[in-house]
Amino acid sequence: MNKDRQQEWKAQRFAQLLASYGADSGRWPEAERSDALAFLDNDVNAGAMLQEARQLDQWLQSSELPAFAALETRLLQQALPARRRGGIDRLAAWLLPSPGHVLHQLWRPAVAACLPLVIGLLVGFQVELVPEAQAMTVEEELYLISLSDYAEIL
Amino acid sequence: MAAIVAGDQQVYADTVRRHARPIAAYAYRMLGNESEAEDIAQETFLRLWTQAVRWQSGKAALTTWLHRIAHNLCIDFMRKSKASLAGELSDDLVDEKQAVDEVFDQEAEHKLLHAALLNLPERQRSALVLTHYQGLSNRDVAGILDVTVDALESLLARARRSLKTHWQAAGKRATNTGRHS
Repeated sequence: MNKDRQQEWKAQRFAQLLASYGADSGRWPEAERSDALAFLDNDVNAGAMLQEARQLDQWLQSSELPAFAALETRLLQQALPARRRGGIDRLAAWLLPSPGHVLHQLWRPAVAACLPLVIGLLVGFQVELVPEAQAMTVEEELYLISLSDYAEIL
Repeated sequence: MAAIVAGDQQVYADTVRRHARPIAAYAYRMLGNESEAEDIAQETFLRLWTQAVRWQSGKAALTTWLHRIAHNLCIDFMRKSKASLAGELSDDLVDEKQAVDEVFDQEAEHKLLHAALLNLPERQRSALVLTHYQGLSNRDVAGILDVTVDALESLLARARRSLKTHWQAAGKRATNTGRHS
Protein backbone atom coordinates (compact mmCIF):
# COMPACT_ATOMS: atom_id res chain seq x y z
CA MET A 1 0.00 0.00 0.00
CA ASN A 2 1.56 3.34 -1.03
CA LYS A 3 1.65 6.34 1.29
CA ASP A 4 -1.30 8.21 -0.29
CA ARG A 5 -3.55 5.19 -0.13
CA GLN A 6 -2.52 4.53 3.43
CA GLN A 7 -3.39 8.13 4.33
CA GLU A 8 -6.73 7.81 2.52
CA TRP A 9 -7.49 4.60 4.41
CA LYS A 10 -6.62 6.30 7.71
CA ALA A 11 -8.86 9.28 6.87
CA GLN A 12 -11.71 6.92 6.06
CA ARG A 13 -11.28 5.01 9.31
CA PHE A 14 -10.96 8.25 11.28
CA ALA A 15 -14.26 9.45 9.80
CA GLN A 16 -15.84 6.11 10.72
CA LEU A 17 -14.60 6.42 14.31
CA LEU A 18 -16.09 9.91 14.60
CA ALA A 19 -19.34 8.78 12.99
CA SER A 20 -19.69 5.88 15.42
CA TYR A 21 -18.12 7.02 18.67
CA GLY A 22 -18.08 10.81 18.45
CA ALA A 23 -15.29 13.26 19.17
CA ASP A 24 -14.22 12.06 22.62
CA SER A 25 -11.11 9.92 22.06
CA GLY A 26 -11.86 8.12 25.34
CA ARG A 27 -14.76 6.41 23.57
CA TRP A 28 -12.71 5.25 20.58
CA PRO A 29 -11.60 1.61 20.53
CA GLU A 30 -8.45 1.36 22.61
CA ALA A 31 -6.53 -0.54 19.94
CA GLU A 32 -6.99 2.26 17.40
CA ARG A 33 -6.84 5.27 19.70
CA SER A 34 -3.16 6.16 19.35
CA ASP A 35 -3.24 5.80 15.54
CA ALA A 36 -6.34 7.98 15.36
CA LEU A 37 -4.79 10.65 17.60
CA ALA A 38 -1.63 10.62 15.49
CA PHE A 39 -3.78 11.05 12.37
CA LEU A 40 -5.56 13.96 14.08
CA ASP A 41 -2.21 15.66 14.74
CA ASN A 42 -0.98 15.23 11.17
CA ASP A 43 -4.02 15.72 8.93
CA VAL A 44 -5.21 19.21 8.05
CA ASN A 45 -8.88 18.24 7.73
CA ALA A 46 -9.08 16.05 10.82
CA GLY A 47 -9.59 18.96 13.22
CA ALA A 48 -12.66 20.18 11.34
CA MET A 49 -14.10 16.67 11.26
CA LEU A 50 -13.55 16.38 15.00
CA GLN A 51 -15.20 19.73 15.65
CA GLU A 52 -18.30 18.70 13.70
CA ALA A 53 -18.61 15.48 15.70
CA ARG A 54 -18.08 17.44 18.93
CA GLN A 55 -21.18 19.57 18.27
CA LEU A 56 -23.38 16.50 18.28
CA ASP A 57 -21.63 15.22 21.43
CA GLN A 58 -22.37 18.50 23.17
CA TRP A 59 -26.03 18.18 22.27
CA LEU A 60 -26.06 14.60 23.55
CA GLN A 61 -24.63 15.82 26.84
CA SER A 62 -27.68 18.02 27.36
CA SER A 63 -29.65 14.89 28.23
CA GLU A 64 -30.84 14.99 31.83
CA LEU A 65 -31.86 12.22 34.16
CA PRO A 66 -34.60 12.14 36.79
CA ALA A 67 -33.47 12.27 40.43
CA PHE A 68 -34.44 8.64 41.17
CA ALA A 69 -34.83 9.93 44.72
CA ALA A 70 -35.94 6.75 46.46
CA LEU A 71 -34.40 4.21 44.11
CA GLU A 72 -31.88 2.57 46.47
CA THR A 73 -34.38 2.52 49.35
CA ARG A 74 -36.99 0.88 47.12
CA LEU A 75 -34.52 -1.74 45.88
CA LEU A 76 -33.17 -2.51 49.33
CA GLN A 77 -36.59 -2.73 50.95
CA GLN A 78 -37.94 -5.31 48.53
CA ALA A 79 -38.19 -8.80 49.94
CA LEU A 80 -35.60 -11.04 48.36
CA PRO A 81 -37.11 -14.31 47.18
CA ALA A 82 -35.62 -17.69 47.97
CA ARG A 83 -33.36 -18.87 45.21
CA ARG A 84 -34.58 -21.69 43.01
CA ARG A 85 -31.91 -24.34 43.17
CA GLY A 86 -31.03 -26.55 40.25
CA GLY A 87 -31.70 -30.31 40.22
CA ILE A 88 -28.11 -31.26 41.09
CA ASP A 89 -28.05 -28.82 44.02
CA ARG A 90 -31.31 -30.20 45.38
CA LEU A 91 -30.08 -33.80 45.00
CA ALA A 92 -26.83 -32.89 46.78
CA ALA A 93 -28.79 -31.16 49.57
CA TRP A 94 -30.95 -34.24 49.96
CA LEU A 95 -28.00 -36.65 49.93
CA LEU A 96 -25.59 -34.70 52.09
CA PRO A 97 -26.28 -33.91 55.74
CA SER A 98 -26.51 -30.22 56.59
CA PRO A 99 -23.47 -28.61 58.27
CA GLY A 100 -25.03 -28.65 61.74
CA HIS A 101 -25.99 -32.32 61.58
CA VAL A 102 -23.97 -34.93 63.49
CA LEU A 103 -23.58 -37.00 60.31
CA HIS A 104 -21.92 -34.06 58.53
CA GLN A 105 -18.51 -35.12 59.90
CA LEU A 106 -19.06 -38.72 58.89
CA TRP A 107 -20.25 -38.50 55.32
CA ARG A 108 -16.81 -38.10 53.78
CA PRO A 109 -15.30 -41.20 55.46
CA ALA A 110 -18.50 -43.07 54.60
CA VAL A 111 -18.24 -42.06 50.95
CA ALA A 112 -14.55 -42.99 50.98
CA ALA A 113 -15.40 -46.39 52.45
CA CYS A 114 -17.98 -47.00 49.72
CA LEU A 115 -15.59 -46.14 46.92
CA PRO A 116 -13.96 -49.65 46.66
CA LEU A 117 -17.44 -51.17 46.35
CA VAL A 118 -18.42 -48.73 43.62
CA ILE A 119 -15.14 -49.25 41.79
CA GLY A 120 -15.53 -53.04 42.11
CA LEU A 121 -19.03 -52.90 40.62
CA LEU A 122 -17.84 -50.70 37.76
CA VAL A 123 -14.90 -53.00 37.02
CA GLY A 124 -17.20 -56.02 37.26
CA PHE A 125 -19.55 -54.59 34.65
CA GLN A 126 -16.74 -53.55 32.35
CA VAL A 127 -14.53 -56.67 32.39
CA GLU A 128 -15.96 -59.83 30.82
CA LEU A 129 -14.66 -62.95 32.55
CA VAL A 130 -15.35 -65.28 29.60
CA PRO A 131 -14.47 -63.83 26.20
CA GLU A 132 -17.52 -63.58 23.97
CA ALA A 133 -15.95 -65.81 21.35
CA GLN A 134 -15.70 -68.63 23.89
CA ALA A 135 -19.09 -68.15 25.47
CA MET A 136 -21.70 -70.76 24.51
CA THR A 137 -25.18 -70.03 23.32
CA VAL A 138 -28.20 -71.69 24.95
CA GLU A 139 -28.58 -74.02 21.95
CA GLU A 140 -24.97 -75.15 22.27
CA GLU A 141 -25.38 -75.88 25.95
CA LEU A 142 -28.58 -77.93 25.30
CA TYR A 143 -26.73 -79.85 22.61
CA LEU A 144 -23.91 -80.74 25.00
CA ILE A 145 -26.36 -81.83 27.70
CA SER A 146 -28.10 -84.11 25.21
CA LEU A 147 -24.72 -85.63 24.27
CA SER A 148 -23.99 -86.35 27.93
CA ASP A 149 -27.10 -88.59 27.97
CA TYR A 150 -25.62 -90.66 25.12
CA ALA A 151 -22.29 -90.80 26.94
CA GLU A 152 -23.98 -92.41 29.94
CA ILE A 153 -25.58 -95.10 27.72
CA LEU A 154 -22.26 -95.87 26.06
CA MET B 1 -20.31 -12.27 43.58
CA ALA B 2 -19.47 -15.44 45.44
CA ALA B 3 -20.83 -13.72 48.56
CA ILE B 4 -24.11 -12.93 46.80
CA VAL B 5 -24.32 -16.51 45.57
CA ALA B 6 -23.81 -17.60 49.18
CA GLY B 7 -26.71 -15.33 50.23
CA ASP B 8 -24.79 -12.42 51.80
CA GLN B 9 -27.38 -9.63 51.87
CA GLN B 10 -24.85 -6.98 52.95
CA VAL B 11 -22.75 -7.51 49.82
CA TYR B 12 -25.96 -7.51 47.77
CA ALA B 13 -26.92 -4.14 49.32
CA ASP B 14 -23.46 -2.70 48.50
CA THR B 15 -23.84 -3.88 44.91
CA VAL B 16 -27.27 -2.26 44.67
CA ARG B 17 -25.87 1.05 45.99
CA ARG B 18 -23.02 0.97 43.45
CA HIS B 19 -24.93 -0.08 40.33
CA ALA B 20 -28.60 0.90 40.78
CA ARG B 21 -28.39 4.41 39.34
CA PRO B 22 -26.49 3.55 36.14
CA ILE B 23 -28.95 0.72 35.49
CA ALA B 24 -31.95 2.99 36.13
CA ALA B 25 -30.37 5.65 33.90
CA TYR B 26 -29.97 3.14 31.09
CA ALA B 27 -33.58 1.99 31.45
CA TYR B 28 -34.79 5.61 31.55
CA ARG B 29 -33.02 6.49 28.31
CA MET B 30 -34.43 3.37 26.71
CA LEU B 31 -38.02 3.77 27.93
CA GLY B 32 -38.35 7.49 28.61
CA ASN B 33 -40.24 7.01 31.87
CA GLU B 34 -38.90 7.28 35.41
CA SER B 35 -41.19 4.83 37.16
CA GLU B 36 -40.77 2.21 34.42
CA ALA B 37 -37.01 2.69 34.62
CA GLU B 38 -37.17 2.04 38.38
CA ASP B 39 -39.27 -1.09 37.74
CA ILE B 40 -36.62 -2.35 35.32
CA ALA B 41 -33.86 -1.61 37.85
CA GLN B 42 -35.82 -3.46 40.54
CA GLU B 43 -36.29 -6.51 38.33
CA THR B 44 -32.62 -6.41 37.28
CA PHE B 45 -31.45 -6.59 40.89
CA LEU B 46 -33.97 -9.30 41.74
CA ARG B 47 -32.41 -11.33 38.95
CA LEU B 48 -28.97 -10.55 40.30
CA TRP B 49 -30.09 -12.10 43.59
CA THR B 50 -31.84 -15.13 42.15
CA GLN B 51 -29.48 -15.86 39.27
CA ALA B 52 -26.11 -14.76 40.64
CA VAL B 53 -24.81 -18.29 40.21
CA ARG B 54 -25.10 -17.88 36.42
CA TRP B 55 -22.64 -15.01 36.27
CA GLN B 56 -19.24 -16.06 34.92
CA SER B 57 -16.51 -13.63 35.96
CA GLY B 58 -14.24 -14.50 33.04
CA LYS B 59 -16.99 -13.86 30.51
CA ALA B 60 -18.22 -10.40 31.50
CA ALA B 61 -17.74 -7.74 34.16
CA LEU B 62 -20.57 -7.47 36.67
CA THR B 63 -21.67 -4.10 35.29
CA THR B 64 -21.83 -5.55 31.75
CA TRP B 65 -23.87 -8.50 33.00
CA LEU B 66 -26.30 -6.19 34.81
CA HIS B 67 -26.64 -4.04 31.68
CA ARG B 68 -27.36 -7.16 29.66
CA ILE B 69 -30.16 -8.15 32.05
CA ALA B 70 -31.56 -4.60 32.02
CA HIS B 71 -31.31 -4.46 28.22
CA ASN B 72 -33.26 -7.70 27.81
CA LEU B 73 -35.90 -6.49 30.28
CA CYS B 74 -36.23 -3.18 28.42
CA ILE B 75 -36.63 -4.94 25.07
CA ASP B 76 -39.28 -7.28 26.55
CA PHE B 77 -41.07 -4.32 28.11
CA MET B 78 -41.05 -2.30 24.87
CA ARG B 79 -42.36 -5.21 22.85
CA LYS B 80 -45.16 -5.86 25.31
CA SER B 81 -46.23 -2.25 25.53
CA LYS B 82 -45.42 -1.06 22.02
CA ALA B 83 -48.90 0.20 21.33
CA SER B 84 -49.22 2.18 24.55
CA LEU B 85 -45.69 3.55 24.21
CA ALA B 86 -46.46 4.75 20.69
CA GLY B 87 -49.45 6.57 22.13
CA GLU B 88 -47.30 8.27 24.73
CA LEU B 89 -44.69 9.26 22.16
CA SER B 90 -47.25 11.19 20.20
CA ASP B 91 -48.49 12.95 23.34
CA ASP B 92 -46.76 15.38 25.67
CA LEU B 93 -43.73 13.22 26.52
CA VAL B 94 -42.07 13.53 23.15
CA ASP B 95 -43.62 16.57 21.62
CA GLU B 96 -40.82 17.55 19.27
CA LYS B 97 -42.64 20.45 17.64
CA GLN B 98 -43.29 22.09 20.96
CA ALA B 99 -39.69 21.48 22.01
CA VAL B 100 -38.38 23.02 18.80
CA ASP B 101 -40.50 26.12 19.34
CA GLU B 102 -38.70 26.60 22.63
CA VAL B 103 -35.29 25.48 21.42
CA PHE B 104 -33.38 28.07 23.42
CA ASP B 105 -34.90 26.86 26.61
CA GLN B 106 -32.55 24.30 28.18
CA GLU B 107 -35.48 22.17 29.29
CA ALA B 108 -36.87 22.20 25.76
CA GLU B 109 -33.50 21.21 24.34
CA HIS B 110 -33.43 18.29 26.74
CA LYS B 111 -36.98 17.37 25.67
CA LEU B 112 -35.99 17.52 22.03
CA LEU B 113 -33.02 15.22 22.60
CA HIS B 114 -35.15 12.91 24.72
CA ALA B 115 -37.69 12.73 21.90
CA ALA B 116 -35.03 12.12 19.28
CA LEU B 117 -33.48 9.33 21.36
CA LEU B 118 -36.84 7.64 21.91
CA ASN B 119 -37.60 7.84 18.21
CA LEU B 120 -34.49 5.85 17.31
CA PRO B 121 -35.02 2.17 16.51
CA GLU B 122 -34.48 -0.05 19.59
CA ARG B 123 -31.09 -1.44 18.62
CA GLN B 124 -29.65 1.90 17.55
CA ARG B 125 -30.88 3.44 20.80
CA SER B 126 -29.38 0.63 22.90
CA ALA B 127 -26.07 0.87 21.05
CA LEU B 128 -25.86 4.63 21.51
CA VAL B 129 -26.98 4.71 25.14
CA LEU B 130 -24.71 1.85 26.20
CA THR B 131 -21.68 3.32 24.42
CA HIS B 132 -22.16 7.05 24.86
CA TYR B 133 -23.96 7.40 28.19
CA GLN B 134 -23.13 4.19 30.04
CA GLY B 135 -19.50 4.24 28.96
CA LEU B 136 -19.24 0.53 28.14
CA SER B 137 -16.55 -0.64 25.72
CA ASN B 138 -17.49 -1.49 22.16
CA ARG B 139 -16.77 -5.18 22.79
CA ASP B 140 -19.03 -5.25 25.84
CA VAL B 141 -21.84 -3.47 24.01
CA ALA B 142 -21.47 -5.79 21.01
CA GLY B 143 -21.73 -8.72 23.45
CA ILE B 144 -24.87 -7.31 25.08
CA LEU B 145 -26.54 -6.74 21.70
CA ASP B 146 -25.28 -10.05 20.28
CA VAL B 147 -23.66 -8.39 17.27
CA THR B 148 -20.13 -8.03 15.94
CA VAL B 149 -18.12 -4.89 16.67
CA ASP B 150 -18.48 -3.91 12.98
CA ALA B 151 -22.26 -4.24 13.20
CA LEU B 152 -22.23 -2.20 16.41
CA GLU B 153 -20.29 0.58 14.68
CA SER B 154 -22.84 0.58 11.90
CA LEU B 155 -25.71 0.87 14.45
CA LEU B 156 -23.90 3.71 16.22
CA ALA B 157 -23.19 5.59 13.00
CA ARG B 158 -26.84 5.31 11.92
CA ALA B 159 -28.03 6.44 15.35
CA ARG B 160 -25.74 9.47 15.39
CA ARG B 161 -26.65 10.36 11.79
CA SER B 162 -30.33 10.23 12.66
CA LEU B 163 -29.84 12.38 15.77
CA LYS B 164 -27.80 14.86 13.79
CA THR B 165 -30.63 15.16 11.26
CA HIS B 166 -33.09 15.85 14.11
CA TRP B 167 -30.77 18.39 15.63
CA GLN B 168 -30.09 20.21 12.36
CA ALA B 169 -33.78 20.22 11.46
CA ALA B 170 -34.59 21.66 14.88
CA GLY B 171 -31.95 24.36 14.37
CA LYS B 172 -33.40 25.30 10.97
CA ARG B 173 -36.97 25.43 12.30
CA ALA B 174 -35.84 27.55 15.21
CA THR B 175 -34.03 29.91 12.81
CA ASN B 176 -37.16 30.19 10.67
CA THR B 177 -39.22 31.18 13.71
CA GLY B 178 -36.59 33.81 14.58
CA ARG B 179 -35.54 32.20 17.83
CA HIS B 180 -32.12 30.99 16.72
CA SER B 181 -29.18 33.36 16.51
